[in-house]
Amino acid sequence: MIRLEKVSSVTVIGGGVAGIQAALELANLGMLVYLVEENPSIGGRIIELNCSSCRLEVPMDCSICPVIPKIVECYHHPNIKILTNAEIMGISGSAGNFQINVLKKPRFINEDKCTACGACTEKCPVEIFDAFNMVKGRKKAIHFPLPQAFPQVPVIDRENCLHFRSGTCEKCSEVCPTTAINFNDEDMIIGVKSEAIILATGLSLFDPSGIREYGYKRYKNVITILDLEQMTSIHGPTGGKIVRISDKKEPKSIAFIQCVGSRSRRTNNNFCSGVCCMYTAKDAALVKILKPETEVYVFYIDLRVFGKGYQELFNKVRNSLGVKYIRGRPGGIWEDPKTRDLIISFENTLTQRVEKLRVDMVVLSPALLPHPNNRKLAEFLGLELDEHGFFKSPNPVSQPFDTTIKGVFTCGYCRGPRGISESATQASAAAGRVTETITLAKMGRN
Amino acid sequence: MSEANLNQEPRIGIFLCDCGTNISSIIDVPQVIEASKGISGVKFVERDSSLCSSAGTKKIRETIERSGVDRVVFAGCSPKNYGSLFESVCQKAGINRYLVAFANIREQCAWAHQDRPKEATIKAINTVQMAAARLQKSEPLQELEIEVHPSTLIIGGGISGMTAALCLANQGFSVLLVEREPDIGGMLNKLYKLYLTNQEVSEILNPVIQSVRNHKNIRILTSASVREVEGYFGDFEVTISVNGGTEKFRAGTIILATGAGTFEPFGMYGYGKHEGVVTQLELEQILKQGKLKHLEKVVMIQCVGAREEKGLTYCSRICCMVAIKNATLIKKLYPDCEVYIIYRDLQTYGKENEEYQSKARELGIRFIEYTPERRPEVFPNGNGKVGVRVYHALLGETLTINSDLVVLSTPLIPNADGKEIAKILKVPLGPDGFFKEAYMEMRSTAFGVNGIYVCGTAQGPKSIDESITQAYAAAALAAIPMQQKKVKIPAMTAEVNEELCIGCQLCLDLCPVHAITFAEGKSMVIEAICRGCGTCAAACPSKAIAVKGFKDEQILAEVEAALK
Amino acid sequence: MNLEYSLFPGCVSSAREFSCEISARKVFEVLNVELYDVEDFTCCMPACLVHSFDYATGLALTSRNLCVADEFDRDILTLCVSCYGNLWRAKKLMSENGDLRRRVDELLASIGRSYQGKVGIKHSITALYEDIGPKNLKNQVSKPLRGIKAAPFYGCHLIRPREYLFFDDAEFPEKLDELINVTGATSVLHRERTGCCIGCGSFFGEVAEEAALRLSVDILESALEAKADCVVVTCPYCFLQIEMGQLLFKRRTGESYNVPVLNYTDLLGLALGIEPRELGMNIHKIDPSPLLEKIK
Repeated sequence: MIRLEKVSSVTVIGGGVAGIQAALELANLGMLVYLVEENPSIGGRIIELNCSSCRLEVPMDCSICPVIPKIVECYHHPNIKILTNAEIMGISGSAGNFQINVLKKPRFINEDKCTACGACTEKCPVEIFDAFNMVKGRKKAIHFPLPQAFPQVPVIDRENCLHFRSGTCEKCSEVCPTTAINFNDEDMIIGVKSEAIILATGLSLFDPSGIREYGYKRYKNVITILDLEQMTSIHGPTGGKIVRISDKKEPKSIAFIQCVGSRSRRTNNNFCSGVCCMYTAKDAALVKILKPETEVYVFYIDLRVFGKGYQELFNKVRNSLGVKYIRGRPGGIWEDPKTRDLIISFENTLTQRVEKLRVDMVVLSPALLPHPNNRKLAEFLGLELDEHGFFKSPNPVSQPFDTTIKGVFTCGYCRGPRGISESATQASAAAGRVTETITLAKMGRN
Repeated sequence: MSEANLNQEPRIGIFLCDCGTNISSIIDVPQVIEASKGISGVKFVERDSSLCSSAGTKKIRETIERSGVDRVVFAGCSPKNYGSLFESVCQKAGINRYLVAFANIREQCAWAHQDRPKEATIKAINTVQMAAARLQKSEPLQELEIEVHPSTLIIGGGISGMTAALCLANQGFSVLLVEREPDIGGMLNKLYKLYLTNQEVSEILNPVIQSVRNHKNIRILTSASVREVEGYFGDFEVTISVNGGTEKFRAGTIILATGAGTFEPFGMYGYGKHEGVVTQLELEQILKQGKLKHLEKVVMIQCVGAREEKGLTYCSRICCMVAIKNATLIKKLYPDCEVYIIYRDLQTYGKENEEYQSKARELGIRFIEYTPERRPEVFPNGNGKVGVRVYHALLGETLTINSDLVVLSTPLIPNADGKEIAKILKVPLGPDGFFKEAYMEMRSTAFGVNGIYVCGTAQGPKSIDESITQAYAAAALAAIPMQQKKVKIPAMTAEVNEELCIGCQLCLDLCPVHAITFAEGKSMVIEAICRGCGTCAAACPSKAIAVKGFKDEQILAEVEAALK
Repeated sequence: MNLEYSLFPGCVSSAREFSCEISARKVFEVLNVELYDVEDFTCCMPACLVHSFDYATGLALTSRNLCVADEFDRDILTLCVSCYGNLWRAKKLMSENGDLRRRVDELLASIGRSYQGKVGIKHSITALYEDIGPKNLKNQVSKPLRGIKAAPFYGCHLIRPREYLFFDDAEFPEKLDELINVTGATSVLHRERTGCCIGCGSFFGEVAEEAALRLSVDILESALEAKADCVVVTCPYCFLQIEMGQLLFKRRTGESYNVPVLNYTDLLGLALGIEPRELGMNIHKIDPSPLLEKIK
């Protein structure tokens, strides 16, 4: 086990949109930043989304495009050190003097030597097939995490890799032209001393298979909106076409169901995730644009169109593109065993009629939850979490991104539901606040 | 190190990234390479699968140094992704970044024409040829470095302006806070209590005002307004009219925090005709002064004048929460008062807002949904009061409420000064009339123009915490160049060839940012202001003015290559 | 297996649908489970009856049964899911302190009872699944019902509301399907498997005949779509409704569905080798002979 000691001005925990933005602003303000990310690549959730905005003739901001340059900048910025595949093991100290212990798990592939040639993934004999996420298709035990992942370096799935299970295979290492693969890579513990901490742990997706009446994972043609995003990506298994998983045919009708598991006392997620109304509208529009004759329905409770340009975009989706909006949370979905079509039972609350709708495919918008890691971090820092796992602020009005501990700030979804724009803004704001705090501390005041 | 020498033939190096299979699965890469080798001046065509990786960038540097080329073409993915990275790698290898060109053969060829690989390949070959052709006519350019004055002008002394002011002042920058009204505090001065915490405004506002007043780095000018802004990012010369006279201020950066106004719903739902119809803001005043009588029934109507087909098409984001807050305050005052909120879609997004709404429901506040096709109607109910008849969309029944008070929730509207300020600062307004940010996703407080930032409701309706967040963000963005003390501005600015200039001053009139001045019979471009739009170059009758890096020769060379 | 329970037969199986009780008693006898009769048990008092006049009184009447059961060191075994759900509702409410509990305690005290909440509440299905277990049952099956397709009808209060009933998932339960498969028959998926029969509270014809008929027809159609040979229920109410629905339909239209309705214990009993007559199948109103023929 290797142990290193480092010093930084600020440690940003979480390498998604918010974390990256915060790190960049801080770095440009002259701060030395450590960015800690648990996954093998930075970019967070946004790089899992498709690139659809270009195909929509809508003045809307893309998902991935604005972030990639930031990711690249982050990676090459002299003031930012990125630790991926890294877990926080403990935090002690207080504002001005935090000690953060980071466990950097071995990647087994030297990031500096790898040229992303893909020879290893070709030769690997182990194929992993995720039966439920059929949208994602197959991958090898050594694989590139995501097409837009950064750095473009493969990861090894230790559970399935033959070398780690039985020591019987080193094919990837044998074919690597730059000898970048090193199975003897070790864990590394890095102790970082920081003056301040910014938490940007982001979100996790609610697993809609808990809402059993919707049949996710039981019915092949019920997928989540993230599955749809990945399906419509040109890097995906269908090359960007939307198909039913049961028979690979293009659906003639699709129903989107919002608020799955959110705004619900049943799941204890009685909050609104804030972004689903709009991203569902976007994806519904995408479906219509790719194939205008598709019947598209959206089941909603309230239309949350509160942002800039949202109402106007929504009008276009509903009025010009003809997406049908039905107010009512469906009570259940049944599958026709012969055709695998889906029959949705619902009450149209605006007409007070109970109806059934038969569609070829159903797309669920699940609740977006705070990251489960928040609990651990809260424990380490002595921070308060609310009952859902979001970080609490001392005053939600006047101190929206402070926490209950001095020197620790939050940005992005970990504080409460918000979209990309607000997360990025909060990240810049947190950077400003941290710089202010550190400057004041230097001047001896508080 | 290889330096570009205008007397020598250009020596071009081409790096072609096949992006793994991303490009090579559609485009016939060997064909492109062959064709590219044949371009005149090309010394090498280096293929790679991942130029953006650490190994890739190392290769770029080593290949350039070894080959002695003086200009480079990158054929691969969109320059948006790694453009600045590759430019900086080339710079480190001694190549002027204006002698680096990009041929986008991924997004614009491979991805756009996936189903026509043959044509995509030809287009890719063309794209590379065009980039190389342009490069052959390119010249190395030097970027101007300007000093950034460590001072900020903040227009608007509301919560956003004040928050930004404090953040910057605490970092040691000088701040001038210019406020139109006689007092700072902005919209918050008119409010009573705030939602989420139900605390009094003064609890939040007063400490901020005190800090701002007492801060040695902040100067406040009230009853003042900005008249003119000349100069450029890093050195703005601001003229402010105050106290019957004018003052000048030198600012490195400017933050707009001019806030928003409220919509007056005259003629809607009896407003202006009956006493018993007020706006939420008016209700706040009544509550603040403790003048709310014991009422039996209060009805609040949402989306009054907002979310319309024409006119104010947007949702004002905060009105649902404001209504719920005021309804909560009324219920706490008079628990037996019946309070109804008639809404279209409840914008209680997120976590804290939903909780606040739940608590309101528990207090007994009733929510009635209406659709825009069947709006509520009001009718006179005696003594200036107004009753409401509404079709409850979820019940399917029409309800008649004999209300004592009707409160209309109206949207925030762009500040009346907006157009004026937009002109003075040369920043854009969006179709909704609020200031148009550069890029909603990642730069919501910046403009396309450097050095000027926006925050708060001036950019669009938002809550106080959201305004405070944006204020800090704007301050952070403003602090960056001021902290770095110097910034380089892109070299693609207009340049006047004095020999050809005939002094017609057409360019002066046309320049959208007033970057051109006139002296001794010739036009002169202030580089720091120029944004390189090229309007002057297009208009000049004698071709005396051109944008560096975008000369006619370069563009024509590209066009010719495209047509080959 | 020395299992014993206090049998809570419930009104419907005592007064209208004897076959349920006959079937249950026989099957448990063969499984060596002792069912004790308790004379003092009265109507479980569903929430739609006395509760609608005075909730505390209604709850006291339900809780009274739980007090009686507490006299014995045995869990209650109900045959009807309505009783099952009701008794659990009472148990949950009585576990909370507050005004309601206080008033119920007063009412119970006035008849010399005090609520302890000691014994557990089972239903024949939950006892068979949890206390005996599908494996054990399978081992005792001597005449597997191969080739029979059964459409399970769970019955509302076996699984809902999820706040106090935890036997199986409220939206997509699977345990009855498992129990059916144990007998050698195949349980089929059909859309009305967790539907409502309006049994409890409607008692067919007395309150909501139209609605009851429509729902019964829905259930039958659903079973037929899935190619089922019979509908398997867990409750005498459901049994009543789905049988009577067929009779009413015939009276109205002249057409017969002829879908045999079986209690789960009927199915299990047949698989254990018990004669149909001993399971009370001879008093079913919809003739089960086509099914019995198929089994032979």
